[in-house]
Amino acid sequence: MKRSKLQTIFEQTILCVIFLFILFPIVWVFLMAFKSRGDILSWPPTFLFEPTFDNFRNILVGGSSGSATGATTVDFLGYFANSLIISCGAILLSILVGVPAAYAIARFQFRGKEDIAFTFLSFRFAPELLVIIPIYIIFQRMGLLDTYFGLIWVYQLITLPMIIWILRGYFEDVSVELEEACRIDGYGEFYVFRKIVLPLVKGGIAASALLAFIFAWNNFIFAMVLGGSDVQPITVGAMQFMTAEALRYGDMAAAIVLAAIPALLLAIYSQKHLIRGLSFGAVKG
Amino acid sequence: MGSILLDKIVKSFPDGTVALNKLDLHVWDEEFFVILGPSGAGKTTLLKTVAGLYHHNGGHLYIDGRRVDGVPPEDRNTAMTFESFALYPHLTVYDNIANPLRSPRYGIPRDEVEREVQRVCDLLEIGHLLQRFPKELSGGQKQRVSLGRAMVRKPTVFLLDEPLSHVDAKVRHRMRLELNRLQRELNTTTLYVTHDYLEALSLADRVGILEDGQLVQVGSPTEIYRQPVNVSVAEQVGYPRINLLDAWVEHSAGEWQVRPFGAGGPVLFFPVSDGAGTLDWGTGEHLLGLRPQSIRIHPRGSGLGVVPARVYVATPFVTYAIVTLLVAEETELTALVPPDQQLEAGEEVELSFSGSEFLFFDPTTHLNRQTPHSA
Repeated sequence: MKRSKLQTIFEQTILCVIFLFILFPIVWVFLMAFKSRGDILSWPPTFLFEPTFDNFRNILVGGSSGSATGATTVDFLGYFANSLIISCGAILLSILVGVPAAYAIARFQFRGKEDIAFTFLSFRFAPELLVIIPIYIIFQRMGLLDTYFGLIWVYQLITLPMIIWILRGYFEDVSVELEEACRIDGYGEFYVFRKIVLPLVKGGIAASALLAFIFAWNNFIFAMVLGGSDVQPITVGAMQFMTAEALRYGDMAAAIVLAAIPALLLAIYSQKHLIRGLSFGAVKG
Repeated sequence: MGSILLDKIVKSFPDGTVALNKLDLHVWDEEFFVILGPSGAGKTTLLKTVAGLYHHNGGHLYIDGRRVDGVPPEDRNTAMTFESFALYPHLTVYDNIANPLRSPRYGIPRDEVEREVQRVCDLLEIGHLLQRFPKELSGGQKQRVSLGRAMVRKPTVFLLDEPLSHVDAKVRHRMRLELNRLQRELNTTTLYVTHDYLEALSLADRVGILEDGQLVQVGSPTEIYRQPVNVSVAEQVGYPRINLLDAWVEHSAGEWQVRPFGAGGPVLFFPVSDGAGTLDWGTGEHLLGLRPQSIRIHPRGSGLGVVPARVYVATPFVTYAIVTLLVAEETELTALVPPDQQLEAGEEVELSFSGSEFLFFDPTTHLNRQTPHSA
């Protein structure tokens, strides 16, 4: 169907409105990170201002937060490192466990297969608040509170289901006959998995790991309740910019901008894999 | 080298379908054995069972005299091509072909791998494709690469699953010749699966007809064509499809009287002996199988034919013509004639038949009345 010019303009306008609506908070936070305290609090809000790097300096090298009151130092880099350790650790563990699990669910017929798969999925839609108290008690007894290991473990609730469910589809797209051919070529099952199957789902592993990483990176509630001051990630750490004396908006915005960078870099880096991964099943043969 | 022996092999799937039903088969050492059957007959299942990709639920399987029930595929020393080719998409043609040689099971040194890959590439004329990936190949090229991967090692048996089904007619003919030559050169026992009877008859030392998970007939290509055990084998082998007529046969005065078009139709007389041997057709009602090739068409009034007919449709192909005839305005007959025989639709003709090419089947059991049946 040919679209009239009017229709096209209408569609574009709608898209622009949606675009603005979604992007505005991000742009606003980004601008805020470069504003002085005065500019942030001015009313009506200013779009034209003199950019400053004070906020970044505050959180990275420490110092007063622009106002006379904010003297608390926040160990931003420490939180940042915690986030990296926990998220990367959670992803690595999830890949280690999830890749074989997804393969088993995709390939083999066994009793209760779909139930197991569904149980994994249910971890995703069970509200975190529902499980946080029992987990807290269990962790307390096991001494896992305020440890990296404990957080990595509990983050499996977020990352493992995603990896298993995304990879299951990828594994199902790999023709069984490829594996059969390789068996006949004289290779054992494990070798076939490594040599034929894994290279073919590389894109899927990258895509699912990226998505899982973003969710892990953004998690707040688990880290807030189960992680003590030693292991808190940046999502929880950023709360410390809300002090009794002042809300350090500028510092918070700067922290958010910096915290978004790893996920952004990962997304750009794995874009190739994401696109390849998404079209992999479509162009078989 | 290596024989294959299937002893009452049963293969059923979890959903209850029985793909192979107590199947017995003995493929001799160095034999080229072709399994012919319609789709869904269990051909691929049979190959995969021999390869060890499927575990059979009953019976015993021997390769080269060794019982291999439960032996994993990588330890059976077979080579197989798949109907889907199953080329590794992330590896180049070279790596695809070299894959069987690099298996830790064989420990073949690098330079020998290179030499062997080169050898099969020369054989299959794919040397110029070595650095390409499977998705950059045409169907015929993929086919050859998959054959190359199977032939690069010296396996006990070759298992070929419809290796020529996806290539165009010209390539198919050439590949058929090549396969023939390869088999003679390599002398490796080959189990070959196809639904194309021409492939089967032209390549095989022996042909096995697979139907519903059982071999209904095993024999040389000539036997299969000349003495099919039942109607369905006769229908599968030969093109155009064999004519089946409700015939009536009587025996009197030292002659066979065959009425191909029923008790009231025209009668053909045959001496009891046709020179080659005594004919014994048995009297009564028969299902008469008449190959289109055994029907001769003569101009009406020439006195050469015995049954009057009318040309219904004549379809000329360059090297032959397929003619549909109407006998007594109701029975259709298909005949294959030389292309130089000009026939027009509606033309009145008369037909003659060669009695030695008649096939008589039991009208109820559909079994061939002239071949001995093993139970």
